[in-house]
Amino acid sequence: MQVIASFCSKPNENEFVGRRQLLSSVCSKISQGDVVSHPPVSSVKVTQDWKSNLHELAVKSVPSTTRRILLTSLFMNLCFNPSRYLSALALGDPSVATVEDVSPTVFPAGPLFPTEGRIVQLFEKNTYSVVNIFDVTLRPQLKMTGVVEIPEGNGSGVVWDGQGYIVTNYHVIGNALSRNPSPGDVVGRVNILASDGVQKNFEGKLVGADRAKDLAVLKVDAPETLLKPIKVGQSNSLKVGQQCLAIGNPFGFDHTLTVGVISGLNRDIFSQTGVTIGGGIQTDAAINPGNSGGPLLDSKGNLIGINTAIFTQTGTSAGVGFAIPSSTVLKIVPQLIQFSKVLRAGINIELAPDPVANQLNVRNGALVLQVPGKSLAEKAGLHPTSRGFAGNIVLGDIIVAVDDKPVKNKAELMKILDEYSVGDKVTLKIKRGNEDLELKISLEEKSS
Amino acid sequence: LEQFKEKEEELEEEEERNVNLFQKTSPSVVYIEAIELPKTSSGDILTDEENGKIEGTGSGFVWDKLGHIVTNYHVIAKLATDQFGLQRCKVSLVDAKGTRFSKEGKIVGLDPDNDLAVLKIETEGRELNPVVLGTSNDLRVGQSCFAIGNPYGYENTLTIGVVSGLGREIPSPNGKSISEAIQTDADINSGNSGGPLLDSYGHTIGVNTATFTRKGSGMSSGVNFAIPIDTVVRTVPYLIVYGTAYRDRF
Repeated sequence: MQVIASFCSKPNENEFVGRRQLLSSVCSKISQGDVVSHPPVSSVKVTQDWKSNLHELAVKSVPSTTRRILLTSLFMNLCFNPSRYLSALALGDPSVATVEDVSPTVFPAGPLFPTEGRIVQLFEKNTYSVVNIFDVTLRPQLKMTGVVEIPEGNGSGVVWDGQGYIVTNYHVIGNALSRNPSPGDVVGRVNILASDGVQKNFEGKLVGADRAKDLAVLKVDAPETLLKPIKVGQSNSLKVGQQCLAIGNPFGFDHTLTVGVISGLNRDIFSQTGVTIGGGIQTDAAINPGNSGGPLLDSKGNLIGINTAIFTQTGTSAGVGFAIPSSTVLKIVPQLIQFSKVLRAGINIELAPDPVANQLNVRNGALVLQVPGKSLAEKAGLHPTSRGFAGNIVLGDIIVAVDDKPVKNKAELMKILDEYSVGDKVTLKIKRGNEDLELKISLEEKSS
Repeated sequence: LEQFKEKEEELEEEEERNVNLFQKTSPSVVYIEAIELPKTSSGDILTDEENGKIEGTGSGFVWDKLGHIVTNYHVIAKLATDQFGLQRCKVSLVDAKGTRFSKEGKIVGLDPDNDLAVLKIETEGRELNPVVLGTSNDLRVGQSCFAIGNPYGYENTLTIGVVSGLGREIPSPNGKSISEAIQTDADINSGNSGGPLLDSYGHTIGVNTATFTRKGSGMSSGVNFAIPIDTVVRTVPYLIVYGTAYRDRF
């Protein structure tokens, strides 16, 4: 009855009063909350008001119809629950009279607890340092079914500094990079979130890319006010169980926050670029396609890794995600910015592949096959494998340790040398026949 | 050491809070089974249950003391589009005294646009535990959230995560879109659908609805969505009184 009363107090201004309009106007009053504010009216009075008002309204809006017919038709229609005609199944609950009877109280939110408040603040502070990156060579495609397919090369990145350098994964822009672009070419589109919540789109020009560590640096010409560089932390003092946060662009849902803990350290990451990256951080924060290139943060908001890979059988997160540690990022990115490539320290010698070494009964250490003439390695005195006068194979030096770090095979030697920079001096422990020797050698840029 | 102790206390406090939250709110969560009766059936779900085939399971929550249950439309879609009168749905829940009971749920209102449905069960004098409703317009990314439901039929499962994103748009069962959806990394698997998403105070802030998967395995990917409670609060009273959402009434 209150519903009708509220309607009557404001006659419909429309020219024609149909059942639909009439009822919808009743309802819009309800939704506006008029009913609640209305003072309670006695039922008798309501009926009177209702009749007289409706009468007025009818005469005003449809002058050609006789009053009686109009009144009865309106009355009849109002008597029935309108939805009864339309839906055969959902009839509503006849025992409930008004919408208010089934509108429970809504409680306002309380203040955040300190633990969640910290995460909220971390997100709000760091979300502007995370960008969305789209490979320029991949475009969203409208399929025949009408479904828009978001291409895989849709990832995340982090703002490295105020000059517009953006760090991401190599595989995020892998398709563009497979066309061998030179530095300065546009390889991606970068969306930066401005503080007003609007995303601004920029061209991402290639600065440098390193397939071996699945990292790439782009540059955008964005105003410095838009660029909120991320704080890079140390990844070598991390502990399993520490809380970590990932921000990224999974499946195109931009600036998604996922929280978890560090599940493991020093993992080998099998990256999409086909290389194995050591020292990986494992986390159970949900990492999905599109999170690639985004930051993994510790509970202080420092970047501890770049989310890179997941272990999965469904193509989505299974709670096993991997990030490239910030120590690796810190070593690679400045080189990419400075030289557009990574100077990898090494010894320019040829080592025997594992099967060959095994055939030659070398089970422990890396066997030197060839030493180029006039190289640093020759000067240091490394002996290559050669043939004796009788055609027999004379084994070359076997490297068993670098600076007291044991070397079991070729891959391990590479991994150890990766930790050094060009120009560093190392001591190699080698086995030459039955002799154990130590040689000093300075590392040079690895030609690959 | 002092700081460490403080942290430990904080963690213990949080743990206790989570446990309390679950104990307080889980009686409001119901288990919904969609059952198809055999063709030769007396029509009574509770006696013919053994013969019926369980077509799907989902979750829901108690809206009020009158026995109205809110769930996802897609949980009871088979019942809603039933043509042969053989679909039933069984609602299992606990009353205020902690006694578990099952009742047949009858459809009261449907809103496929928002993937919402209201069922009614006969309370028969039992007192129910309605949820405490919160608001979804003042949520912040990063705050904790809790999902209670029945993933893969495991009743009253608690999963915890954070709000991952706000204002998302997700598709509804009839191809329209649900706006302002809440994204969370609390695991929501198939069977969680229709259950409540809660904030740290145990207030319901959303209805768990979907997870983003590639192969339709229904397995959580950590990118999960809930219908915001503001939409639910706006819609459900109309569903109860009129059977359809306000905009669909004519």
